[in-house]
Amino acid sequence: MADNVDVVEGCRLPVLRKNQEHEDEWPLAEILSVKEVSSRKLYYVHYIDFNKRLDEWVTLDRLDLKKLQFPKKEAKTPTKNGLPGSRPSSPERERKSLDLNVQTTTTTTATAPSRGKTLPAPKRKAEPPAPLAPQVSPAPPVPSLPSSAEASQAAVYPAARESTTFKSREDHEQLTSLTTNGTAARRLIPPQPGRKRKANCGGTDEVWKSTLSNVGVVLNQDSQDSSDGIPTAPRMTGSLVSDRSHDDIVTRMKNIECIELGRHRLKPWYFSPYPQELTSLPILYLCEFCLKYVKSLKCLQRHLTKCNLRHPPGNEIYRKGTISFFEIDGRKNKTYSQNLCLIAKCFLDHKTLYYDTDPFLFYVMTEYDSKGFHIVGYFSKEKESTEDYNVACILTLPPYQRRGYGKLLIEFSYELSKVEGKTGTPEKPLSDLGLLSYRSYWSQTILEILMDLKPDNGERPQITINEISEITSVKKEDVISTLQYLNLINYYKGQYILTLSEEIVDGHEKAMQKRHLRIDPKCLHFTPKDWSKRGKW
Amino acid sequence: MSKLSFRARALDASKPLPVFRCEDLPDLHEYASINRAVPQMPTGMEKEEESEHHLQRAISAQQVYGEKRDNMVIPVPEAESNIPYYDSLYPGEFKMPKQLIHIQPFSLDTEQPDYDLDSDDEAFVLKLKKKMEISLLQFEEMIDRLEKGSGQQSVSLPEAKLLLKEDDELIKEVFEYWSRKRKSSKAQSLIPSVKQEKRDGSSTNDPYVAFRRRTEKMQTRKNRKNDEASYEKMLKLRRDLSRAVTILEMIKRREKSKRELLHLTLEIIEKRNGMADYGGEVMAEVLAERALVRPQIIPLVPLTNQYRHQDHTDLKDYKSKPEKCEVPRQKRKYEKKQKALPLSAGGAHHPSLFNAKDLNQYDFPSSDDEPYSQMLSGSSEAEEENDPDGVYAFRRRAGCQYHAVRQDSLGSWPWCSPSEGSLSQPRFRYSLTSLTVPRRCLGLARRRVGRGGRVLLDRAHSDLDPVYQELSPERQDLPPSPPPPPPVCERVPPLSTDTTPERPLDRHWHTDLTHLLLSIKACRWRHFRPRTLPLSQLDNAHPLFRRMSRRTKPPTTQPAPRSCPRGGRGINQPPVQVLTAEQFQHHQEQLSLMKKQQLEQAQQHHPPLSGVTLDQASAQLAASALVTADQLLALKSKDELPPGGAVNGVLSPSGVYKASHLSSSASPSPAAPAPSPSALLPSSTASTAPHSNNGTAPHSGSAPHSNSIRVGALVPGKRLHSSRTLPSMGPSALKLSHCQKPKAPTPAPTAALSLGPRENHDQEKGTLNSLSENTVAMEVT
Repeated sequence: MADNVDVVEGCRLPVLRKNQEHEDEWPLAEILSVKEVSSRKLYYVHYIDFNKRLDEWVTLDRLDLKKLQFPKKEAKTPTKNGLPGSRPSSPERERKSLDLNVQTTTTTTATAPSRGKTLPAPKRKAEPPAPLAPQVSPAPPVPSLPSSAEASQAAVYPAARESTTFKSREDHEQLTSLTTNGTAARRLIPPQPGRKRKANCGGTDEVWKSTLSNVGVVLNQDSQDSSDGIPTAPRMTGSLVSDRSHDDIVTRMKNIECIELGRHRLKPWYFSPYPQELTSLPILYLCEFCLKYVKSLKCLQRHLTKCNLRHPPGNEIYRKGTISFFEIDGRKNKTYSQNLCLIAKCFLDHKTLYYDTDPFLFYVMTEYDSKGFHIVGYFSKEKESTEDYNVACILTLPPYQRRGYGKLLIEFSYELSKVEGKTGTPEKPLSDLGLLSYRSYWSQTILEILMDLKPDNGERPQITINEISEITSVKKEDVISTLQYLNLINYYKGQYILTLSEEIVDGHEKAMQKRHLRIDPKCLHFTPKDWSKRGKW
Repeated sequence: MSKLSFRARALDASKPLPVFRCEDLPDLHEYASINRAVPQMPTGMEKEEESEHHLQRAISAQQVYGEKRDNMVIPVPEAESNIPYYDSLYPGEFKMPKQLIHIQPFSLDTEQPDYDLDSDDEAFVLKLKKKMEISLLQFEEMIDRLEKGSGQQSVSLPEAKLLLKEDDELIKEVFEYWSRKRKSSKAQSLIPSVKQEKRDGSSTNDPYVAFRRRTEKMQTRKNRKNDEASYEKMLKLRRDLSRAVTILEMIKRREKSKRELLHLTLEIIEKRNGMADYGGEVMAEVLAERALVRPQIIPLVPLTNQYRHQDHTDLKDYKSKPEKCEVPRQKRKYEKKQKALPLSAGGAHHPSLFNAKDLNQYDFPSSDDEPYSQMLSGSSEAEEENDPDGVYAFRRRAGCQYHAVRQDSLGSWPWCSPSEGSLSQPRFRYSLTSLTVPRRCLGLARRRVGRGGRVLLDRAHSDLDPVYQELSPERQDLPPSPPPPPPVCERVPPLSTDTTPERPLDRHWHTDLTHLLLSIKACRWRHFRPRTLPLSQLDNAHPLFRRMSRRTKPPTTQPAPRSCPRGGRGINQPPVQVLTAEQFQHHQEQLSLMKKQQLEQAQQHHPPLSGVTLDQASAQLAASALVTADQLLALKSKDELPPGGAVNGVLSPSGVYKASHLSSSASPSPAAPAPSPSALLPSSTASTAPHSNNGTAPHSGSAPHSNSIRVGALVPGKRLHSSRTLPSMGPSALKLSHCQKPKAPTPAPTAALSLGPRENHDQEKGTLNSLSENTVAMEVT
């Protein structure tokens, strides 16, 4: 067995994890960080092709060292000393791709592996000069880079070329390291220089398209992040960022181990910028009602003697049964809004906390019991959206997930849009869970309408997409994509028709039976404000 | 026809789509291949994540089974919901309110400390509790203050003592504990908070920095407009704030003075106590003595307000002629005394230190300076009684620019001698002059136009003066008039023009004066020019008025000195009807106000500067006097003058003041050089003003000292920079001139009334008498 010094940031190897059936599986993973706790090494692994939320610290015995791939051929030199927070030199990407271009004979495709984020700078033995790594965050301990170098390309190029010969992801678990390398890594880290990436992705995406056409996935070429250069600051509108901001290795790793909120203990999924001194705690304690973060149970007890909130500090605009919604102005109630964002960031990968909360309203859904109104989930919404967004971020807290609350939140957001007389759509990018939830909501909403259509004096019932959009406040594009996803649109005898298959109808009826939680528009007490007339938000 | 070759139309969102059940369309599958015509929609996910294993699995499962199966859901890290101590942690119950919860804005801001004490703190506090009194909350509050008081640098112990209100000992203990804890803590602050952005922007990429302020707001045009407006608002705000600062500073000074006064009073009381002056007799004596020695009011209000006080005192000084001046002054003092005395007289036997007088003294002016304003208003009443020339008082106007004296234009007036570079026109030469009222001969004098259209008489001394005086028609009625003051008149003739000896003021004259004034006032009323009546009403108007308006029609060069009966007292009763009582009242108010302000101005500056600035009124006058019709046209085209419609608005013909403006401004003939708008300062300013014309002759001392003569001072016209000041005049001045324009060719009625004759060279001598009448009359009102 190899000496464990060899396992450094950037290495890839199969790592043992339990799947949902509690069976062992050995997906390929990438080492993002190494730390030593009581003389035992821990490795932060990202399972390639799995969502980041499953990343975790593992012990050495879970690594399959036999299949270890080094980030570069001659990565014998240990990069660094295993300091906590050490990380691969991901920011080196730009220089890397430059180098690649220079040294490579296979020209354009070579840049695709830009993910070789762990590549050390070729020809550079020492720490990279700061200017070359502008996106490195100054905060965490400076990582030492894998120093030796020259060779990294060799490992990367094959992978890059492999990426075009993509294998379907179903069998990725058995993939040899070489074949998956390309795509996996590529997904992991979007290449930085936008143009190049576009050019290169074109090729691979096409392959994907043909491969994946059965599930109707189309890769949209122009995602919002494909601009040029390094972002200095994210755009000012919206609350989500594209993957670009995740270049920083710090934000790619969870930093909070556990959060205690009310009667729940939550395991965060992603990085959240809580005060850095609190990230080393085993448990971060939050006040259930004001969401204030404190370092210890003692502090929380003390805080609770002073905090008399028993509900979110906003106006209750909806109540039916035990479910209530509170509206909170991100400008007027900054502390709460920020605290809410901090905990939400733990579960939303693409949420950005770069800017203040002023332009947002927060709608917090609570469930009442004798202790008070407990937060279940929330969504935020821009006071003025230039792009018809009616939701910026939306989250059901993990303990409440998979119980219909997410759909309830979504339904509520569309009820608000109905009051406003607008159609709306959630801000992009969607997360995987977000996509599933929205698709599910859209499908049920649209099917509900279609099934309720009654024959109009003998004529076959018909409806336009615009009508569906108006009735539901779902944006037209989302209606179309849902109809497509459900495969309802067919071309028949010279015109488009909507067809309802038996399975669809049955499935829908079954699903609706299970959907107990619904928003009752009569219980909504909401007057939209015209924020454009109120000066600044 | 091949179905495949058929190209489907794009999906139209506004086109109705029939809804079928699949079982109704058995042949549907034959058409299925065309479906790709429908554009595929993006999912809205990041590409990289879209292909993630669990998502794809879930999507496939959903499509296959129509719903998710439990093992096909996307796995997430686990969460627990069984905190055992939850119930004890969140004690008590919260009853759901019946109504929807509404939060009052800012009701959430509690005064509770943000700092939450931890176990270490608790141990410390418990230990400390044995020694001194401290509660957990109090400890938290202290730490909270210390934390919030320190930024990068911790507060020091002395600072901490300022921050905290607890006992020094307690502070010391807590402070030491706190600084130890803070030093050992890695964190910036013991109250954990999200990292803030750094000002230099270096924190752009720090992932722990969050909630940055949106500094660069997206600019829309709308906002830009707002910016301009708000910029102006900010400017205004700054002005207002600085004004407030000034006011506060003045208040500070005032209060300081009050304190001083209080101390002084206290001292006096103590002294009186020491000498057993319980009845205030000694005090009264001293006061009386002081009043005799130096009639000076100690200014209550220091510095900034000083000029007001001074002018008040100077006013008094002037108003009471030296030998008389104690009388009113003492009277004032005694008035106070008299209020006080009855009380103190009664209480003279008992040893009370406080009499009413003392109480009065403690009744300091609060914010309104009440006594002071009372004094002012009192004096202004007195002015109306005794001091007849408030009309032409210099008054600063808002929006007017005042220029400094132009030293270089010395002597460019028509009456100056050629040696001063002027024309020395014959119409301004000295000639033998006598006045109608009072009838007497003045000796050699020349007349010229002063500010506000007043006619000034410059007298020259000559050896023949005694002879001239013999010429007075009413010599026998007059008291022996004193010779003109030598210091003034002995000056080089051209320079001596700046003094106008007035009526000699001796006792006899003084008693007579009120009578005289009354009659003059009666006559003066004719100078008021009522608002021009429409022609239709003219017939009903007063005969005089009708005459006037008639006269305007023919371009007459004929002087009408005698035709306007104004001279002899009792010759013509004043047509009172022309002027309403209100107008008169208003006029009087104006007069007093103007005079006051003029006095202020005069006192505010050093004597040589007294004429530095022009008030708007004189600027208007100057403009109207200087600008000919042609110039006006040119000006009009330059400045955006409203067409003559503003005439009435500008010319509020409510009083002599305006009327005289009119009269002089109507007079300029295009050919003649502009009459110089020089001003006769009211003689009340004699103490400071007489030398303003000519810096070489310092007379300030002499004037007040002469008993028999009051020296009237001229603010020389040269201070007005003739036509050059025009551009800088406010639009209103130009407006005024503009509206005068139509009248320029013909002597306006008022011109005919008051000043018209002066413009007639031929008649100069013949009209002198009436002129002098005018002079007196105008000065008086």
